[in-house]
Parts: sequence; structure tokens; C-alpha cells
Amino acid sequence: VANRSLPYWRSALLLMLLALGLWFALSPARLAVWDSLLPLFKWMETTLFGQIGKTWGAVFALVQAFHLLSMALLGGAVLLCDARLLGLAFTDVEIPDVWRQTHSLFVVALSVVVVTGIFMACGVAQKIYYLEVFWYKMLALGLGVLFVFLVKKPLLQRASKVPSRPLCVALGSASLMLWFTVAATGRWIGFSG
Amino acid sequence: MDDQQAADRRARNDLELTAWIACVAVAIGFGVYWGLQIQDVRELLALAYG
Repeated sequence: VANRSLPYWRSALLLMLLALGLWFALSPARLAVWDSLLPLFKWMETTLFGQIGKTWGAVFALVQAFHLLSMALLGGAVLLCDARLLGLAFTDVEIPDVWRQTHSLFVVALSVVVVTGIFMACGVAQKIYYLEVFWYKMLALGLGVLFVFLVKKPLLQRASKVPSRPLCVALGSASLMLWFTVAATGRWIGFSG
Repeated sequence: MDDQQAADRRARNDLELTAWIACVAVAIGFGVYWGLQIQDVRELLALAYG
């Protein structure tokens, strides 16, 4: 019913969400939400993960190693797929084939990244709460995941309908920009505070 | 059948338009964010080295 009454509902919804996001970024509501999250970050440090992360540096380092390795795997999966979309590599393989292979790797890597990331965040919750770059990383990560599952996946998974070349280039470029920001801001957190 | 094909085509066009909007929004956000970071670095370098 929605398809017939509102044929471009996805585009309209995205435009509304972008307008809402822009309003939120520029309004005082952003600071109010940030303030309201402080108790959550304080609580995170009191959890078992927080206690372990703060007490045993070796455990934190071990988990961080898995976090970084899974980020490397995730980055590799993104790079492979985006290189194909940009026409830079694997041009003899169909885009949906590259997508299928790299997406399964991406999902595994993302799961490990999220689990290990939550553990690490608990150990240094109040530090990262006050780091502006942490919030930008979370924003980029959230947008990157949404971009993969809501934009790339429905467009690339069907072998019968590959997007046009300009759209493939746009998808590959936007994906690289998002994941570059995730990686760079992630390392930035490591060098902050 | 034709109705179904037309609906599928509209859904596909919608998805592609959504992808274009998302790509443009990401490019603008990326340009603004990293542009501001580079601006900060330039100002710091100017402060440090005149």
C-alpha cells in the first residue's frame, strides 16, 4: 500500500532524516542529550567489563588487539568491495559476487568490533565521554553500518540488477569516505586524553 | 503483471535515488568535517610558526 501511495517513500524518508539530523546537530538539544548520557557512561565503568578493563591492562590490551584485527578485517572487506565498485580491481568478477563474499566477512568483523568495542568503552567510559572525536566516530560507524545494510545491500545483492556505473562509483566513494572516517577517528581516540 | 513490473521499477528508482542522496550527504559531511580539521591544523601551525 505504501509503495502505491508514496512511490518515493525511501527518498522522502531519507531527506526528512537528514533534515532532522541537521537540526539536531545545530540545536541545543544535542548538548542536552549529551548531558543526559553521563550517568550511563559512569555506570559503564562500574560494570564487570569496566572493572576488568580498568584493573587488568593485559586483558584490555588483548581485547584491543582483537578489536584492531577485526577492524582490519572489516576495512579489508570494505576496500575489496569498494575497489570493485570503483572499477579499480577484480573487474573480471561480477559486482554481486564480490559483494556476497565480502559482506559475510564484513558481518563477522563488525560483530567482533562491536563486542570488543563495548568492552573497551566500559574501561575508559568517562574519558571517551568527554572526547569529541569519540562521538564523531560513533556517528561515522552508525552511518557506515546503515549505509551498508540500507543502501549497498539492497542495491548490490541481486545479480540481475547491477546499478549503473556512475552510481557504483558514488557508492564506492561514499563508502570509503565513511570507513576512512571511522578508522581515522578511531585511531585519534587512541592518541587523545 | 504490468502493474507489478511498474511497481518494481518504481521501487528500484526510489532505491537508486535514495542511494544518490545518501552518497551526496556523505560527501558533504566528509568534506565539512575533514575541512574543519585541516583548518584547525593550519591555525595551530600558524600560531606555532607564525
